[in-house]
Order: sequence, then structure tokens, then C-alpha cells
Amino acid sequence: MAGTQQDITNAITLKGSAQLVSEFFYFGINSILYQRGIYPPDSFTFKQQYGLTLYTTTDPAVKGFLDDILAQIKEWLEGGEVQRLVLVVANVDTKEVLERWDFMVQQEPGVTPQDTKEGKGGSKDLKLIQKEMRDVIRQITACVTFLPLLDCACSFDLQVYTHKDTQASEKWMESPPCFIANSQEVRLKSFSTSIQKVDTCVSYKMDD
Amino acid sequence: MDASPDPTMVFTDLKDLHMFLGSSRTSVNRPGWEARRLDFSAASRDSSTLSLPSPNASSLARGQKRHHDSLVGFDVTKKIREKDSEIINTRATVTRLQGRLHEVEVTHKKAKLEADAEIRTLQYRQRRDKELIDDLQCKLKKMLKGKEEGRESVKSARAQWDTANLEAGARVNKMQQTYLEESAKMQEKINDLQEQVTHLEEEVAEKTSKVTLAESHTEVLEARLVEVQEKHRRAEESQAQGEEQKRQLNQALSRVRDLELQQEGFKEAQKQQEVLEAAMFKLPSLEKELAKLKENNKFLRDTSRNTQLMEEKLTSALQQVNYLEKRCEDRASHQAKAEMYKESLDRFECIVEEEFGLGRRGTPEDLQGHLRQLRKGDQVLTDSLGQLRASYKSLEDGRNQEVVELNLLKTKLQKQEHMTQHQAGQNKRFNRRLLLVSKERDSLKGILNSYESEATINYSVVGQDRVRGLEGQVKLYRQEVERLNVELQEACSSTTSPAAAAAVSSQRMEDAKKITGLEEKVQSLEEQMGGIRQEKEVLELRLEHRALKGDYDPTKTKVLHFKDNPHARALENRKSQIEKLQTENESLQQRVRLLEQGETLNLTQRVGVRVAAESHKEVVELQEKVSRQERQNKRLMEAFQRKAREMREIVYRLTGYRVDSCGEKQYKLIHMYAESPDDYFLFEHTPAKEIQLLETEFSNTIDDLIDAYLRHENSYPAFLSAVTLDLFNRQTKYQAQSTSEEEEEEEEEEEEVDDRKGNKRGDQKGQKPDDDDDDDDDDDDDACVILD
Repeated sequence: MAGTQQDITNAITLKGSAQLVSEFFYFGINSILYQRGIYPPDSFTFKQQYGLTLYTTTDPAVKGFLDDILAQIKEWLEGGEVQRLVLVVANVDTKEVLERWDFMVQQEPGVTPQDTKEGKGGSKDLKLIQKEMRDVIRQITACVTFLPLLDCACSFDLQVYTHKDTQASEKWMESPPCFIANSQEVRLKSFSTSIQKVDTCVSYKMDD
Repeated sequence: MDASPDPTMVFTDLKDLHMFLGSSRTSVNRPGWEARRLDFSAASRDSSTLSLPSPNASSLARGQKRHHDSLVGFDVTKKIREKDSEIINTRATVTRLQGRLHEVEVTHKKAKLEADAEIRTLQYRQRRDKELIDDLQCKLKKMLKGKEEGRESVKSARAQWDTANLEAGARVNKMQQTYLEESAKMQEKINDLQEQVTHLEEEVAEKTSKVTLAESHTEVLEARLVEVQEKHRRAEESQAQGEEQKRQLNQALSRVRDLELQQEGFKEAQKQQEVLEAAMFKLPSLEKELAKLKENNKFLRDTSRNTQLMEEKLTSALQQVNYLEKRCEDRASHQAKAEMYKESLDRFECIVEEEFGLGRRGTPEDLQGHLRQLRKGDQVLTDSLGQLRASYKSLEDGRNQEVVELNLLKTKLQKQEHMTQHQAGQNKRFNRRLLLVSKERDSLKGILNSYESEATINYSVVGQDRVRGLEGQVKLYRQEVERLNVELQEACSSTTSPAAAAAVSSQRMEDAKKITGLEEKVQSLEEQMGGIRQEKEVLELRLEHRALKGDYDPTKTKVLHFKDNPHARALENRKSQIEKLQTENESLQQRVRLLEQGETLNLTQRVGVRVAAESHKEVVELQEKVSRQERQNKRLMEAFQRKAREMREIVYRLTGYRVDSCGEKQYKLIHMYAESPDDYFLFEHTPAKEIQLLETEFSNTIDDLIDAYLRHENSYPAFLSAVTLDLFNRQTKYQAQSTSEEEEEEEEEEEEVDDRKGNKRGDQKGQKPDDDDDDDDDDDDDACVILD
């Protein structure tokens, strides 16, 4: 009995993994928005997550946008459609892309689609996964130290890289990839739910 | 030994016994000695006993020895030993005493140290006490001083008190005396008053008696009064008659007085006549003097007029100077501002010239146009850059595909080569096998032939045939071996046989060439492969890098984003804002243009407010100026009014005429001595600058004067003076008779005033008509003031 219970508690299904990853996206994106000062600090409230005090937006427009987009991303994650999620920070005046925060989602090699369909899951401890997520968010926070100052009116956009044949609702539209011409990339830590692996990377415009 | 003991021995034994007994006694005393050890005095007391015990302690052990000694006769040695023991004892005591002494010294030192410490503390205390004592003494002194002072003050106060007491006593005495005196006086007065009262009471009594008498008397008198009244009526009638007579008398007297006055007037006239006759003699000389004086007067008047003019001019000039100075200051500040603006403009122009190469004559519109062009160019460039990027991306993708194809082809090529080599080897093997198989076939054919030849099966024959076949085979093999040996030999003796060797060597050379060629090929291919691998790695790295940058395979993936994302919203907001601002800007520019053209009427109030905000400073300055000017004007007006009022008052008081303007260039003159306010003159100032007297009710009454002065002499001053005199005479009929000298003086004054008035008229004629208008207004204002 004890053994089976242990198995159940440690098992992570694809759905659970998608839930974890989308949750991570929510906090990661909020952290970036707060740390990079894209929205004023007084439009954020703090919340305990992953053993950290994280800031989440209270702006209804932003919150609604994130909720909508992450719900869809969660669905796609469950279907294994998402290849990467990109947060693009762009100058409003010049439309120039100043920063890209890439979250590259990969299926872990040992997990076959058959397994996931059958509801078999990984055996990674939830605490360990959350620790890895915490490390990534800490790194995101630390990135402020070397990223160039955003001294202009900026806004953000979220892009999802999906399979070519992914079905999307009318709210979605195809977008050109937002590249930074003269960019510097910094790889951050990655985390894995034992089903999906998320690599994080920030690229920013080099100062001329 | 001997039966009889030696007598000495007995003695010594006895002594020993004694000694033993003594030692036992002393040994009893020992603990006490131990206890008393610290007691110095006790120790010294016991010293006598202490010296003894130690020899006694060993007495038992030594008894026998002594016994022997005594037997031998060694008394001396015994004594010596005793002495020694004594010495030892004494030494021990000495050491003990020294120890004690040391202890005592130590204790002494301790005691001393303690004592020293105590002494120090005591000294310290003493010092403190001394200080305390000093302080207390000082305080005591101060207290004593204070006490003495207090005593002195008390003494002085007492002395003062005493004196005051004495004075007070004296005063009290005085007061008592005065009081006594006063009381005595009062008493006397009271007595007097009482006497008076009594007296008055008596009088009252008398009076009452008199009153009674008088009452009776009045009754009598009343009766008489009636009679008297009757008499009085009669008397009144007679008095009225007398009064009428008196009136007649007074009238007669007044007539007499008039006549007397007339007589006096005649007499005075006579006197005047005489005086005038005397003066007539002096007249020519006086006339001369008069002429001179008149000239002088004229000159002085001219000069005074000139000075007045000059003063007016001076004041106006001063005002102008002040105004000009202010203007100068303003101009300096404006110039400074203008220079600053010029400098900034120059700088802007320089910048424009440097940056855009428009030249110094470039207008802002040019600059704007240039900027617009630059923006357009920028946009075009960014567009082209995007296109280039897209094309670059597609090219890169094509290249990648080509590289992949190239790799595939190379691997195919390698496989093909491999196959060819393999097949060549196989070919050889097949050839050999073919050979062997053909031989086997031959042998099998032989066997078959043998089968065919022999109908029956004979195993031995078959075996023999087989053996033969096998032998043939062996032969063949042998032949083959031989051939191979020959070949070997040939190969060995390739040098000996040049033709064969040459053939072999050529074959070998070919082989070697082939081999080397192949090796080279292999090497080159390997190199190529290495290069391609490196390239592949590089390309993989690049791919990864590009993936990091966000690149993706458009054939497999697509990029999706929410239509309603924050960036799009922000962009829209910005766009609408910019459009709004642009429209606003355009409207404002138009307004500015309108303003520059000077069309201020059509502008809305808002624009006016904005303009005011922009040129607020200027407006404030101008407002200040305006207010200053207004204030100045007000002050001038006030001063002018005051001056005019003064002037008119002076004129009124000197000439007796109040001049009011009524209507267009008409002046109303009312005289000080006019009998009614309706008595006035009306003068008109004609356009030909002549003065005309208009007809009024009053002017009709003085036709004679008009006739005399205006028709004949045509002199307004003389006419007015005559009127003045006439009115004056009428008003002061009675006073005129008082003195003739006063009249003369007045006449002189009037003449002067008339002259001045005439001059003033002249001035007025000289002045411009505008000034007259101003005066008119002022006069209107002043009319009421003077009437008050």
C-alpha cells in the first residue's frame, strides 16, 4: 500500500506538467514585467511562490491578457504543441525590439507520446521541480543587473511557437518573428518536470 | 662483672632516674609548648624548660652508653655531648626564633602597609575635611558679611523708620493740633451759626409779623392799584401821542444829520480838490514816471511770462527725459534679449547647417522638410533592411538545404566507392571460384563419363576413377603451385629477367599509382570530410545560436500571438496620441499664422489665453506701464485741477469775476458783488479771435458803461473794472464814506488785476484752441467747487 501511494504522490502526468509549466510562465512573465519596469511598480502585488516573494500584476488588462493566453498555452502544452514561448519587449515609439525572453519547451527524450496518452508520468519530486523553477526565476531577477536600462516607453508581447498545423482560435494570428538585429544572448538555467524541459534564454540589444 | 657496684655508678643511676622522672614531666608539658609556640613572651618564659627536654628525650637510649662511659670514666665527653645537644637545641631555637622574627616582620610589614594605606586615606580625608572646612569658612564669612550687611540695612532701616516715625509723630501732632484748631474753629462756627439761627428765627418771627402786616397793607394797595391802573391807561394814551411826536423829531434829526454829512462831504471834496490841484502840478513828472514804470512792468511781465513758459517747457522736457530714460533702459534690455535670441538663432542655424547642410538661409520649413525627407529615407531604409533580412533568411535556408544535400551525396559517393571496391574483391573471388568450379565440373564430367561408360556400378572402378580425378586435380594443383612458384621465381629474378620484371614492375607501378591515387583520394576525401564536419559543427552552432535568437524552421513551426496584445494596444494608443497631437499642432500652427498676420478678432478666447500665457511677461510689463501712465495722468489731472482752481480762485478774489464756460466758446462772468445770481455777463470768443459781449438782462441795465468803455474805448478790462466799481459802490454805500485812502488803494489794486486779466486774455488768445477745450472741461468741473 505504502509503495503504491508513494508512486501516486510522485507521479507527474502530462496534464500536471502542463499545469506546472504554465504556472511557471505566469510567474516568470510577471517577474520580468516587474523587474524590467514595463509597468509601474505600484500596479503589482506580491505573492509567495516557490519559496520566493514574487510580484504579480494587478492591472486588469494585463492580468486578463495573461490569463487568456496561458489558458490556451496550457491546452497546447497538454497536446505537446508548444515549442517555445517568447516575451518580446519593444519600444513603443520606434517599434524596435529591445529584449526577448525565450522559454523553449522540449519533450523529454525518454517520454513517448504513447506514455503521455496513457497517463503515465515522470517520477520527479515536485519539490525538486519547484526548486529548479525558483532558480530560474532568481536568475531572471538577477538579469536586471546586466540588462541595459529601458529608458523609453516600452510594451510587451507574447509569441508562441507552435507546430505548423496547430489549430488556433480567431483571437490568435500569425506574427512575424521579432528578432533583435544586434543582440547578445544569455542562457539561463533550465528546469524539467521529467516530461517537459524548459530552457530559458534572454537576448537583448547590444549598446552601440 | 663485679658483684659490688661502683658508687659512681649508683650515683649516676640515681641521677638517671631523676632525669627520667624529669623527662616524663617535661614530656607532659610538650603539648603546652606546642600551643604556646606562637606566644612570644610565653616562649621566652619556657625557654629554660625547652633547653632541657631534648637531652632527656634520648636519655633512655643513652643511659646505657653513659653508664658505660661512667664506667670508663668519660664524664667529660658526656658533658661535651650535653653541651652539643644544648648547642643544637639553642640553634633550633635560634632558627625558630628567626622564623618567628621573619613572620613578625612580615606581619609588621603588612601592618605597616595597612597603616600606610590608612594614613593615606586619613590624609585624603583630612584634605577633604580641610577643603570642606575652607568652604564652610568661606560660606561662614559670606554669611557673616551678609549678616553684617543685613544688620547695617536693618540699622539704616531702623534709622529711617525712626525718622519716619518721628516725622509721622510730628505730623500726627501737627494734624492733631490742626484738628483741634479746626474743631475749635468749627465749634466757633457752629456757635456762630447757632447764634445766626437763633437770630434768623427771631427775624423769621419778625418777618411773619411783617408779612401779616404786609398782607393787610396789600389789601389796601390792591384797592389803590385799581385806581392807579385807570390812571395808567390815561397815561399810555398820552404817551402814544408823545411817541408820534418823538418820531417826527427823529426824522427831522436824521435829515439834519444827512445834511451835515453832505456838508462834510462837500468839505472833503473841497479838500480833495485842493489836494488834486496840488497833485496836478506834480502830474507831468508823475506821468513820466508812470510811463517808465509801465515799461518796466511790461518788461517784467514779459520776463515772468517767459519764465513761466520756460518752466512749463522744463517740466515737460523733464517728463520727456524721464520717459526717454525709461525707454532707453527698456531698449537696452530688449537689445540684450535680441542679441541672445540672435546668438541662439545663429547657433541653431549653425547646427542646421552642419547637420543638414541647408545653408544659413534655410528656413524652419526647409528644416522640417528636410527632417521629413530624412524620416522617409529612414523608413525606406528600414523597409529595405527588413526585405534584405527576409531574403537573407531565405538564402540561408536554401544554403542549409544544399549543405544537407551535399552531405547526402557525399555519403552516397563513399558508399558507391566502397561497393565498387567490394565488388572488385568479390569479382576476383568469383573468378577463382569459377576456375575451381570449372575444374570440379570437369572432374564431375569425367565421373559422369565413367558412369556412362560403365553400365554397372563398380565401386572399385568408381573409386579408381575418383582417385584418378583427384589425382588429376592434385596434378592441377601441383601445376598451379608450380606456376605460382615460377611466378615467385620470376618475381624473385625480376632483375635477371628484365622483360618480365618490367612487365611486373609496370603492373606494380600501376598498382602503386592506383594505390597512391586512391590514398590521395581517400586523404582528400578525409580532409573534405573533416572540413565538412567542421562546417557542419559551425553550422549547427549557428543554428543553435539562431534558435537562441528566436529563429525557427518556417516549414515546421509558426509563430502565433494574441491579436489584442499589450504591445499592439500601446502602439495604437501611441498612434492615436500622435495623430491627436498632430492635428492639434496643425490647428495651433494655423492659429499662430493668423496671429502673425494680425487677425486677432477671429481667435477664440482659448487661443487668447494661450497667447497670454506665452507673452504673459510682456503683457504684465505693458499693464504696469499703462497703470503707471494712468497714475501719472491722474496725478497731472489732479495737479492741473488744483492749479486751475487756485488760479480761478485768485482771479475771482482779485478781479471779483468768476469765469465759467457755458457752451461752445461762451464764457459767463458773475461778479462777486452781484445783487442776484442772474446778474451775469456772457462773452463769446469768436473764430476771428475777438471777444464779443452778448446781451443779457444784466447788460441791459448798464448801457451807459457799455457805451462809455466798449463803444468808445473798446476796452473790456476798463468796462469790467467800471462794473466792479459800480457794484462795489452799491454794496458798500455806507462804508465808502469811511476813508478815502482805502478807496485809492483798492482802485490801484483793481487796476493791477484788470491789467493782469487783460494780459491773461492776451495769453489765452495766443494759445491753441485745443488747450481752450481742455480748460473748458476743467472749468465745468470746477464750477461746482467754487460755488460751494
